[in-house]
Amino acid sequence: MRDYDGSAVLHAIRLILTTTTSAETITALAGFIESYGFNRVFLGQLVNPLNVPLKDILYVSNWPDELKAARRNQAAILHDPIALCALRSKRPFTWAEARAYASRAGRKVVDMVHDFGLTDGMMFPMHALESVSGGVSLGGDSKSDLSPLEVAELELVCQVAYYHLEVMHGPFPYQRVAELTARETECVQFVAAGKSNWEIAKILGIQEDTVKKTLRRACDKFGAVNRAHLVASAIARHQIFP
Amino acid sequence: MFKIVTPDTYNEHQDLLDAMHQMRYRVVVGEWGWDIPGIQPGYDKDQFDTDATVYVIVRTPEGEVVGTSRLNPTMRPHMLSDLFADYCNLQPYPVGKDVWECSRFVMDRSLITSPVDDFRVRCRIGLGLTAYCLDNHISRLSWLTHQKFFNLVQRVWHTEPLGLPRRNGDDWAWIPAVSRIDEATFDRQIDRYRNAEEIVAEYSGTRQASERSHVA
Repeated sequence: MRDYDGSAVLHAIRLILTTTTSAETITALAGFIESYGFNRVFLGQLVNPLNVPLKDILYVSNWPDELKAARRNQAAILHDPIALCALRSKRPFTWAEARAYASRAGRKVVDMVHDFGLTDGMMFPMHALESVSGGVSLGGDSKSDLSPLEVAELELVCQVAYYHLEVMHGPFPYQRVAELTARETECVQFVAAGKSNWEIAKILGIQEDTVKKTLRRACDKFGAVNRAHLVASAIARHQIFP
Repeated sequence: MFKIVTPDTYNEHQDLLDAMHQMRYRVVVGEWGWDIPGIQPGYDKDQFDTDATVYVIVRTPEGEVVGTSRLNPTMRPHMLSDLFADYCNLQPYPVGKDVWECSRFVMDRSLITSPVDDFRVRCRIGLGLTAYCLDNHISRLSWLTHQKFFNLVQRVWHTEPLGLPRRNGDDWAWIPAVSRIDEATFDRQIDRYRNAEEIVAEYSGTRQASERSHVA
């Protein structure tokens, strides 16, 4: 360890701390991760997305626009095994590790990313006092065989970038604006997708009567008089995906 | 706000120091499960509680010790030099008259009734550290910070890591770091203390956040 030269890591950290926009920060981070075999960054906060208006969650990435759109359309964050593992993990892990524990829907999310040429990656979970948990996911098109030292280098630089961005953007008003419970949001989201109560019950594995009651509660909260009104209100209040 | 106990005032504050060491044991050993060799049961006082150590202590209105931290001069043996020198692989741990080491940043959350109290106790310990540094021409503080605490340190003090994160198994990592202390730091901390309710509300969004602090 005595011969270890950490000057590149320090240089990257100092560079990131001087950046003043998200784009500059991501560019600086992307420049650093290149030599580790990664070329894509996805940096985001991991809150319960069902309970939070997505516009208020900090997502920054240099992923292809089509991939971002595809993920958004399919509400990928709800099933993404990498995001779900990051909520529980205290250490960095590879995408492959997370995929091994994924549900069928989760594996589809990972495979969708693969389809865009991002075949291998690593997630660095971010947990802190006085902050919402999040993570920095680094992706690439070739398998990186990283040493523990390299993982630690990436972890530190990602951590500095993540919290630098958080300070830059200010705190986000998450739970304060959440008006529906997770279950209510989930049901309303499916209503917005044109599903019937019976279909929602089948998808979620609950009773149709429960779906009906859940949607009734959501209607009461918004003063909505029918399903269309409920969906329109939920979108207007940023409670579900448009 | 906070009490600073320096070596020349140990005698007048012996009861307070005893309560502080007992609180540290309750939290550090009882709650965090640390195994600290050579300490007495119920009383966390180790080899880095020396005759040069300075303590910042925060009490509840009832006088119970709710928060504390300790400062040691780096010109003498300290934690980074004696125990964690190999953690500092990015840059050497700083040593000098104007560099002190901060350790045992501990809060007894069983005495804290709301997130705002929690935030304010942490602010008060931080303010005590900065106040002592400013009064004694200390321009840098070195730490071994818990990964979950690092961003907070980074937010309050201008901070650079001294080494890469290190962890045991799958647990959280530790990061050695050095922070710059100046008057702007103190102003920033005062602002955070003053705006505690607002800041906590922004992060937690809970009703508790708007409750008034119960810690004087």
